[in-house]
Amino acid sequence: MAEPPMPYLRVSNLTKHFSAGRGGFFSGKRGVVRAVEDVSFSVARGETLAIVGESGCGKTTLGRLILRLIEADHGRIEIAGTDIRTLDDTAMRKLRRRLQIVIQDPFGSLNPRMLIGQAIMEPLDIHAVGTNAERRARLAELLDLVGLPQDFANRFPHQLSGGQRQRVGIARALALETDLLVCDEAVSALDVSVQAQIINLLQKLKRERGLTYLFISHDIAIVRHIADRIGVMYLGELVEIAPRARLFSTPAHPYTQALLKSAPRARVHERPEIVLKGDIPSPIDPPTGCRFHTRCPHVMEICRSTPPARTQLAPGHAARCHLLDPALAAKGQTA
Amino acid sequence: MSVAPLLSVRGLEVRSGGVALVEAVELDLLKGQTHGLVGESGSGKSISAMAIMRLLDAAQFEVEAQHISFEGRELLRLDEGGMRHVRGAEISMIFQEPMTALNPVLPVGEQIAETLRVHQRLSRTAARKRALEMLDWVRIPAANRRIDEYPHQLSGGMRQRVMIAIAIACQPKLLIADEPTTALDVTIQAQILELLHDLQSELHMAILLITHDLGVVAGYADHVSVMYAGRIVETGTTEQIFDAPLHPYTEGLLRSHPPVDADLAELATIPGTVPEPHLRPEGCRFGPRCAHFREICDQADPRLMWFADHHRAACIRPRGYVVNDLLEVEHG
Repeated sequence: MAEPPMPYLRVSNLTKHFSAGRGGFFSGKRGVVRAVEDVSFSVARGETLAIVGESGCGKTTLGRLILRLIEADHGRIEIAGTDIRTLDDTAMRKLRRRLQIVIQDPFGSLNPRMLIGQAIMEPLDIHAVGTNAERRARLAELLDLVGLPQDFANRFPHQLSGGQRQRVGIARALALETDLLVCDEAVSALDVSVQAQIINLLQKLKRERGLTYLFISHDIAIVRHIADRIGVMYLGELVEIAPRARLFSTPAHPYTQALLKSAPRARVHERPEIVLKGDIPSPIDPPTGCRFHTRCPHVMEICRSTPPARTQLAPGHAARCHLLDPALAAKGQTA
Repeated sequence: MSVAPLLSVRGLEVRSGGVALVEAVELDLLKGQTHGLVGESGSGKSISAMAIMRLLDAAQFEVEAQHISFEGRELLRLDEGGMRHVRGAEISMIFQEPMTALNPVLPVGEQIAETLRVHQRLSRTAARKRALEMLDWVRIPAANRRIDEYPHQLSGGMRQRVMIAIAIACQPKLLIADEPTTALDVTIQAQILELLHDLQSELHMAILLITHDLGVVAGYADHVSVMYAGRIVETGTTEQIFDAPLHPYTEGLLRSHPPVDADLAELATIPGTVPEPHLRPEGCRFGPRCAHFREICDQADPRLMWFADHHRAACIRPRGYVVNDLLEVEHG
C-alpha cells in the first residue's frame, strides 16, 4: 500500500482479544471476543481517516487501543515514528496531551457538579499547564473556538442541550496541544440539525488547527461527508480501506458494497436494497475462514476455511476477500 | 378528503404540569398507507402517538382533542375495556427498544401466544401453533427452536421481529411504529423495514411511522407530517415534502442530512437548538431559528394553511407574509 510520506499515526497488526463467559449457566466454557484482529493502517498529519462498521465490529475498541486506554495484545502503534506501546507512564502521560477523544455522550464524562468552565479547564489542571490568568484566557479562547457563549463557563452540564454538551466535550479535548482527535460516534446521539452544526465545527477545527482525526462511526453518510479515507471493519477485521471517492465509486469487498446499498437514500420511494440476509454473528468465537462468509452473497468453499489475505487493488486501496485474490482467480476458483 | 380516513385526529393537545407538550396536532391516516411522522427529539411525535393510544398516565398528562376517531369511533369516549380491545386487536404499537417491551422471563413464543389467547380466545395449543406461524411469517430462521428462547438470547433484530409478530398477531388495521429501526444496524434496519413493507401489503394495514430519519421516511411513507416544538408544521405527500418543501424547518432538516450518494462542500445547518416546551417563543415557534424570519412572524403562531391538494404548512412566507393569514384557522 502506498504510504503517506510520513504518517502521523501508524498502526501495525494490532490485535486485542477479551475473554468472555459463553453459553448457558452450566456450560462453564469460556469464549474469546476477537474484538480487533491484525489491523494495520496509517493516517497522515491533518488527514481524517474514518472507521465505519456495525455493532461488534471492534471500531470502538480500536479507538481506545490507539489511545492506550486499553492495552493491545499484539501490534505496534506509532505516533510520529515512536512506538507508544513501549513508552513508560511518564512519557505516555506527556504524549496524552496530544491525543484526545470525543465520545458519543459527553454527559457521561462530565461531572454533574462541576461547572462547564472547570470541566474544560480540567485537562490544564491535571497537566499543570499555565498560570491562572493564562488558563482563564485559554478558557475564553476555547469557548469561542467551539461556538459557545462565554457565560456558559458558569453553567452546569444539565443546563446544556446535547449539542452544547458535545461542544464542551470538543473544547475539553482541545484544551491541550491536541494533534490527534479520536471521535467515537461523536455526533451519533445528536438530532440531525445539531449534528450538522457539530460536523461543520469539526471540519472548521481541522482546517484551522491542522488536526488529525480518527472518525469512528456507524453512519456511512456522515463518513462520506467528513473523511479523506475510509476503513471498513467487520467483526474485528479491517476488510477494506480506500480513499473516500474510490470507496464510494468502486467498493471492492462484498460487505462494503452491502453497507453502501443498505443506507437509506432520503429520496422519495427509493428503498434501500437488501443485500445481506441474517444477523451479524457474535464477535465471540466469530466464523472461521473469512468472518463475513456466513452473510456473503458470493461465498465460495475456500471462504469457509481460509481467512483471505490483504489484496492491494490500487494506490491506497486494499481489501481482504478471496474474490479479489489474483492467485485464486488465476487458478480458476469460482463459486 | 374524498376517502374517509382510518384514523383522524384534530386539535390534539397534551399538557404536563401546566406546560403544553403537544398542541393542535392533526393527522389523517388512510387505510393501508404509511404516514411518516418526522421530527427531532422533543418535537412531541412519540407523546402524540401515546396520546392517540391513550397510553399516557392521567396523573401526569392531560390530553384533550376535538376528536380522535378510528373508523368513525371516538377513541376518547371508549371505556378502558373498549380501549383495551382496540389496542392489540385493531391498533398495535412497536417501539425502538423491544427489550423493554418484552417480558425478560417469558419465552418469546409464550408472549405471542398470550396476545392470541387474550384477543382471539385461542386455546393454549392453538395459540402456540399460531405463534410458530407468526415467527415464520416475520422471517425468524429456525422458528421451532426460537419459539422457546428468551428475549436475551435473541439479537436486536430478532427481538424487533418478535415485537412485530406480537403486534400483527391479531391483524391490526393500524400499526404505530415508533423509531422501529433506530437501535438497529443499517444492514438489519433494511431487513426490518422491508419486512414491515411486505406485511403491510399482505395485511392492508396502515402504518404510522414515527422517526427522526428522513431517509427511512422517504423510502417507505406515502404521506409525511413534520413536527417541530409540539406542532405539525408541514404535512403532505412524500413527494411534496421532499421535492417541494414549504416550511423553512422542513427545508433545513432536509438540507442538514448528509446524502450517502453525493458529495457536499458543507452541510447546511439550522442555527440554535429546539426550544424546551416551557421556553417556546410567542409567535412562530421556529422564528428564532428561521433564515426567513421577519418581524411579522412574531405576532402569532401560524396555523396549518393549504397550499395544494394534501399539502399544508404553518408558515406565512409562501403567501408573501400576509398578516391576515396568521390568525386564519382552516379546516380540512
